[in-house]
Amino acid sequence: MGARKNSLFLIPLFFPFATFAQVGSSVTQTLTIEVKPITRIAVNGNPGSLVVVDPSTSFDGSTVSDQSTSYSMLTNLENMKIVASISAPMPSGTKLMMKLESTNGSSDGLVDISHAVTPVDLVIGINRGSDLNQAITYAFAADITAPDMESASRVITLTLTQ
Amino acid sequence: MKVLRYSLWFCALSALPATAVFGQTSSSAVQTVTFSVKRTHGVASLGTQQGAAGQSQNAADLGDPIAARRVRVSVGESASSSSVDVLPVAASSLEAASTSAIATPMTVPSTGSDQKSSSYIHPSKSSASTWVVMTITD
Repeated sequence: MGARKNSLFLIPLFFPFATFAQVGSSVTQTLTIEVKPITRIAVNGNPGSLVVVDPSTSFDGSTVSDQSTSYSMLTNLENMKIVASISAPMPSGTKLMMKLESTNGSSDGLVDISHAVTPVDLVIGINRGSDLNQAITYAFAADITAPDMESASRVITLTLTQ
Repeated sequence: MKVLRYSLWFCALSALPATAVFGQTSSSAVQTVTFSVKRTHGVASLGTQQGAAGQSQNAADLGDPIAARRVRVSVGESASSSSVDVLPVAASSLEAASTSAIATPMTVPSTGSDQKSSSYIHPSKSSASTWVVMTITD
């Protein structure tokens, strides 16, 4: 009996704010949530070799193209764009153009990237969502002033960015 | 509806290579573009006849006898040859053609087009029809 009496004195120790004679009780927690930005762009392979034979006096008459590769992209951000840059300017008398198809954004069509050491826009107005297996078109042109080139290459960087 | 949309995103993510980047606002991919410019050698015309396209180091036999002693050679802009030799060759015996029969070897620019004339007289058949062989040499 003495022990039970002592335990009654312990109640205030466990529930220091317990209010007697109330019918409800509340506690609060703060839950922090965050959705990380997601951006992803990928390409499949490299285009085939672009060969101009016997260039003519104008670019129009000596243009070859490749549409064998594609890209996919994914983002949860708004108003994104895809830009392209080239590792080094194209040789004189030649021109390299590029086009990205897009269902999510607005394609700028065939864009001259011959001197795009600083990136140029290819697709703008991309919103949340994805574009899968969209065609990439490369067009290579040379005119009569272009030197003979056995095989040259450039690295093209596509960037999905804000 | 949102659940469906995010499910689609998840499926799309799964379709991409496994290194999808979370927490970044930009992503890049690279491609290598290989290109070349080539020129074929060709003889644009010989006199009033259209010349056959020749290859580097190969002789282009124009085939038809040409009575004229003056031959006009036009090398198209695609030629990158450094010289064009016009060899008058007797129709009856090819061995009659010798370098001595070459009146004036013609030189064309390494690139671009030009048109030059060369006169020759066949040593043995001054008025005979002759075959003309054009040789394009790099």
